[in-house]
Amino acid sequence: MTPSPKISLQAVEKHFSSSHGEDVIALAPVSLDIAPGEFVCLVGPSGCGKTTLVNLMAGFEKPSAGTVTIDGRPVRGTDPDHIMIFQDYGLYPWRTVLGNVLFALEAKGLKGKAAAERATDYIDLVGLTKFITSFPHQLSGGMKQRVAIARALAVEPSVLFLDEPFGALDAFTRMYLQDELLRLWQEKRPTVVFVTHDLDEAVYLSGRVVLMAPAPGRVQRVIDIPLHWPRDRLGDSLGRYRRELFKEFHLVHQQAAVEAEYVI
Amino acid sequence: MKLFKHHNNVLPGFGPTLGFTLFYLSLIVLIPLSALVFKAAGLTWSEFVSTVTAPRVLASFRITFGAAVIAALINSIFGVLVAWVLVRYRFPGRRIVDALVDLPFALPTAVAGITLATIYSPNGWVGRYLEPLGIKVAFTPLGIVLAMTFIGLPFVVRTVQPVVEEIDSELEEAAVCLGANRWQTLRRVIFPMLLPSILTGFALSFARAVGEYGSIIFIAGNMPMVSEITPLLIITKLEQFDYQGATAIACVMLLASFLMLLVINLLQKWSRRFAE
Repeated sequence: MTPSPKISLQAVEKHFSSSHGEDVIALAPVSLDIAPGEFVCLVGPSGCGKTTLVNLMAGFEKPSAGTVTIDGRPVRGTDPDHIMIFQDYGLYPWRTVLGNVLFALEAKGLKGKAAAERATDYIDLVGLTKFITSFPHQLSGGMKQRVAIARALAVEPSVLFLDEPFGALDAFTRMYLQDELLRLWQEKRPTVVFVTHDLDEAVYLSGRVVLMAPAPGRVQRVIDIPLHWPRDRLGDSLGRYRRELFKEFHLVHQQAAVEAEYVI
Repeated sequence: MKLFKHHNNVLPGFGPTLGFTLFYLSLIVLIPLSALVFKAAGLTWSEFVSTVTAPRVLASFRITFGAAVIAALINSIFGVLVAWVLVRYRFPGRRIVDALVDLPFALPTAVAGITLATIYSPNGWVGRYLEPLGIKVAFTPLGIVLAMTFIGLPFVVRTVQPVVEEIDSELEEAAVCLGANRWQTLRRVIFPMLLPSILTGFALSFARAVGEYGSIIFIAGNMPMVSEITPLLIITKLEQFDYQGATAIACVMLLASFLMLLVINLLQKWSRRFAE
């Protein structure tokens, strides 16, 4: 028996009208079920609709057709149980690390000592206890993203959306934060939908990779990666899935190139 | 030890440019202002004190600075609202409204004063409806606040508008996503971002209101002790050939304005303390 999905997309489409009044398909019908506690990566070249898809799930946008349900309820807008983490961190520069994490709890109506204790716990969890009174501009990019993660987790959401969260970081910080994110995910077990354009990142992190293709944005292939965490970045088993994904991506890339020429 | 820190930049020569800046500021600002102080210095200390603490002078200070603060506060609230609407909403005639905001800059102040006095006088277009409610605007201190609000509005709108345009939408989205309601987002996210520009707008609007003369004298009624502003009192003194009295009052006004602007500048610096 399969458990009921956490997130369910049923023939979800998104259209925009361009400045010339033409109908542009940002996302062709997508159907996808995501199980509770799963770690899914949406990966693909720019224009493949991966950000659109995650925005639809997080409630920032409404689908043109089809339905998005989380826990069996249709998504009608943002919900503090489903938190989005952005590439540019979204931290408040006039608040300290503690103040930023407290903001999320204040929004939830939690105040006083209980809020302070919970905020401190989560800052500790991401290893920033020493910087609790620092302001965002005093922190490095990787530390800022850890604050954003702590702020999101402090609300104890059941779903975490991440839109290219490590895109602005250098390779070393990126690898470190990938491991941090996996550690936090295994500890708290939220459902994670992670958007990236980095195939290696997708293979290393997720239990399932959703490869998307552009023009129009669509799902090209879904690849299961049934390996245990922590994974060996250089291991043979990971390499097998990596090769499979790269081969498939190569096809997408060729198609995109041919279609681009055709449009010109 | 080096006295001045300077960086390489496109303007040639730190020495000549600093020299020119100081010379220019002296010529345009400092020399006229110091002439004012020198003229006032012709008075002895006790003469100076008795001139500037005369009941009529004190009343004019109260009305000028009081009305200017009220007008700047009103402008800070409604100016932010206007700036917000102009940036965030698209509606027919938006460009026209945008252009209207600058009119108080361009209109001769006397024209503004006469227009306001006509409209708000007891039998004017607006005044006739306020009269039965017991609200008198023209020829009262309320009229002074009205005129000062009119001329100060563009300062707040034009300082806040670009900042609203530049607000990082991710910060708003993050707040909404974390479950903050509209009021929390406004108070905890939008307001802190706008505060420095609101303070700048307040300072400019206040400074303009304190120095305003043309539009106010037509609507104020100019009753000594009640609705007589300091700039008018200075003109009155000049017409009586009491130059030293006039400059003494002007000196106090200058000092008070300078102190208030300094305080607002410090507040603004404090509100920007976390900027990168």
